[in-house]
Amino acid sequence: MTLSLLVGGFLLFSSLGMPVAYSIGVTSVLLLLLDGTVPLVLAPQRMFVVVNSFSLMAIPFFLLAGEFMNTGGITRRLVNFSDTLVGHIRGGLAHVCVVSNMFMAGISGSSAADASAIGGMLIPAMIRKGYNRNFSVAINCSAACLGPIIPPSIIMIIYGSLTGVSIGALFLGGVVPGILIGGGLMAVSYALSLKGQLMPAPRVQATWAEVWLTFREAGLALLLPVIILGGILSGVFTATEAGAVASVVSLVLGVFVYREIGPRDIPRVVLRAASSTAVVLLLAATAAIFGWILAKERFGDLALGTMQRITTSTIGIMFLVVILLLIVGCFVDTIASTIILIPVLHPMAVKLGFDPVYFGVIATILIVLGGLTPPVAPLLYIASTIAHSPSLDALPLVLILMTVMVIVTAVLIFVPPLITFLPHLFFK
Amino acid sequence: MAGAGNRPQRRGLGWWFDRGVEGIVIAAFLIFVAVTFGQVVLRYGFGRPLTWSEEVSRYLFVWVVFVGAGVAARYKGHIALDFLVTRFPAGLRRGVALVMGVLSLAMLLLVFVWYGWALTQVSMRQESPATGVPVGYATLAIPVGGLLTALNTVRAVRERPSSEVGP
Repeated sequence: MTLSLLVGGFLLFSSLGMPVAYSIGVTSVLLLLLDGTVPLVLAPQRMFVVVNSFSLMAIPFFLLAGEFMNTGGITRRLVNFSDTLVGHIRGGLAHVCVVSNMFMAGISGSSAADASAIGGMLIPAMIRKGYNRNFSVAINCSAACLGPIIPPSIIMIIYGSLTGVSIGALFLGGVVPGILIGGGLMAVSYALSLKGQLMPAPRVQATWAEVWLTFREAGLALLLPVIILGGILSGVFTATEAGAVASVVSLVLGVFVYREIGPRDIPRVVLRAASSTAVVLLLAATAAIFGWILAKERFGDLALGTMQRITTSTIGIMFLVVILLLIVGCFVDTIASTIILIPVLHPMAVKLGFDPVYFGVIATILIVLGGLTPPVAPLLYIASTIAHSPSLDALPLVLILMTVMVIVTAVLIFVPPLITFLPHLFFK
Repeated sequence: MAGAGNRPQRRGLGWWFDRGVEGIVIAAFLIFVAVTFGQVVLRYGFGRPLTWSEEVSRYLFVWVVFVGAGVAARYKGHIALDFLVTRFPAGLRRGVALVMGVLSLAMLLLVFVWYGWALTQVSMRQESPATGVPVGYATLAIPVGGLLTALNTVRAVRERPSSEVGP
């Protein structure tokens, strides 16, 4: 009863145009008032406990790093290098988009930051060169999902802090899945380029001299992923601190090496990162009240019971979790769904005997895909705003690309070593 | 979420108020990035970790979040879904917007401001483990941010009553 009121109230208010963060808050508070036994001071207290967390500071750090990478010219150099590497393959800029996002993902931990960074450059370029507008939107927002799958990753940092699973192990677990998903996106782009008029002919192949030149230009930016992952795994800094390191290093590169950021740009750039941070975290804060009520109503036991009535095989339950996360992903953003669902789902997975890293990486991938599915689809909105097109126009193509990503995830579910091999190698 | 720096250029009291609030958010953000980076350098480079850095960063972060939420509300930056309401006739749309607005404001004033203040009064008696600063200095961000968010929500609607979002 409480559960259906909770979900129903949220859907009602948010579909009537109330900001999503407020709808979660209003619904939760109405339920607490209805219940009457819980003192309302619990609400601000839950919000404070969730936001007052060092792990969540990965969000402002990585969003700021993304902003500095854009204004400082790092993003452009990564895209140029990717262009000389794969721009000549049929499908041209679609491959450039995927490969740039993979490089970017090695520095950034946020899909939203990547969608506006790479998308902000590549979507206008693709449309100018005659790529289908909707396809340009679709490939950019889909490839941005690699951001939190390939380490570092905001979602994995929060996942680790909520469950105690090693963040380093989760990071390593995301490497192979990220590469496979990137490969999947490139394969579909190639296939789509063979039929239909979605994409013009690619550029001529770059000479080795050009590759070398763009490689040297990108130089230090390409070294950043190594510094970040190496620093975390060797214990020089924590995963959250890596975000601060990434933002300071990209600021230094932008100001002193590439000389594209002036001191006057900094306040504007920081304010942009701050307000994106606040939007995401206000949602996380109200989601924490929502999550508390779910826990009080024993949603975990209920979900597990329901799932075990449908199937008894563990793989079957895994697929039910996949479906649950995909459905929830339509209605809340990635951070909020992590905070609401992971404290419930992870203990259940452990109880069923899943490897924590394996389950964590799969859950992360599905949570990230939630950024593509409307009505709440931040990645799709960011990309379509850049393209000046209605956000739902690109949806059919997004769903095609998403299907491929879900298929790759299914393969990962059946072949756990693809995820667990690297972490087990490193963490004995 | 772009366009934070893009507002009506009337330099009245409201304009200065907005710039002041933004300035505080920017400064707090820069300080916690610098403190966290400095902590890595001191610990790894000099073997002398700071004891207070994490707590101070977290508290500044809490302030950036709740006051930043008010900044975002100033230009309707909070994610909202308009696919349904844009199909309503104008009168109904205004009515629905009014009801949703009143509910949002009631929640902000009750939970963030009223109970946030109650939480702050309790937390003022509780010392933070590393710095000894009362925890209430951090939770105070909730009522202050909530009040700012409520105020800016009303200001944003008064300037642009339609459901358009962004700059």
